[in-house]
Amino acid sequence: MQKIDFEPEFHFNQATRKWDYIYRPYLFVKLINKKRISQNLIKALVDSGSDHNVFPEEFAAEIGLDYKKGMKYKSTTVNEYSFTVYGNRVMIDCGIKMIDTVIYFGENVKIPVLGREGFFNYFKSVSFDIKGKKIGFEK
Amino acid sequence: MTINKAFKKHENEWVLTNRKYSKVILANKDLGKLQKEAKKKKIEDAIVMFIPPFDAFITS
Repeated sequence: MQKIDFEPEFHFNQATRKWDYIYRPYLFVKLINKKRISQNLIKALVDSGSDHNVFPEEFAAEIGLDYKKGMKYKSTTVNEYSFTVYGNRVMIDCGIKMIDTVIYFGENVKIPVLGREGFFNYFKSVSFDIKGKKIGFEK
Repeated sequence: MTINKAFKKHENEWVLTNRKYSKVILANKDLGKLQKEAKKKKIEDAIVMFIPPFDAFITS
């Protein structure tokens, strides 16, 4: 099993009124479309609560994808609002393996998300060690 | 790992940083503009990330 440390981010703790770190499960990925590849590594959240992979539209444009030609879907979060995304087949290089999958690209998406269908399902298991702040990937 | 305090100026922005978060290479509210600048300056294999609000938590 390959273990990856959670990444720290600044967080202002409302209870203590002090700055501290919050640790989140991120991976650094590159997207590949034919011969075009992301110029820099994209910090993407590994999110077991997300049905699919959802990324900002700008990452599609960077690899030459006309993303609106993809399959149109609606995506929703925990509130009442939904937004439109378009599913496109791309390769994800996550540093552990290359995954030929579908990413749903949309406008105003801020945090790239790797979800269960399209990412988790390409591994035998994905586990979260919250106390140890690590994600485990079994190929 | 220690994150450079310079990141605190870039809440709700896209930044380009190194792997150790020791410096902000580029920052912009618009990801497309950040990508264009990175291309112009030929910055490769850095980390591109959005800095979420510091006083909020993330839900999916």
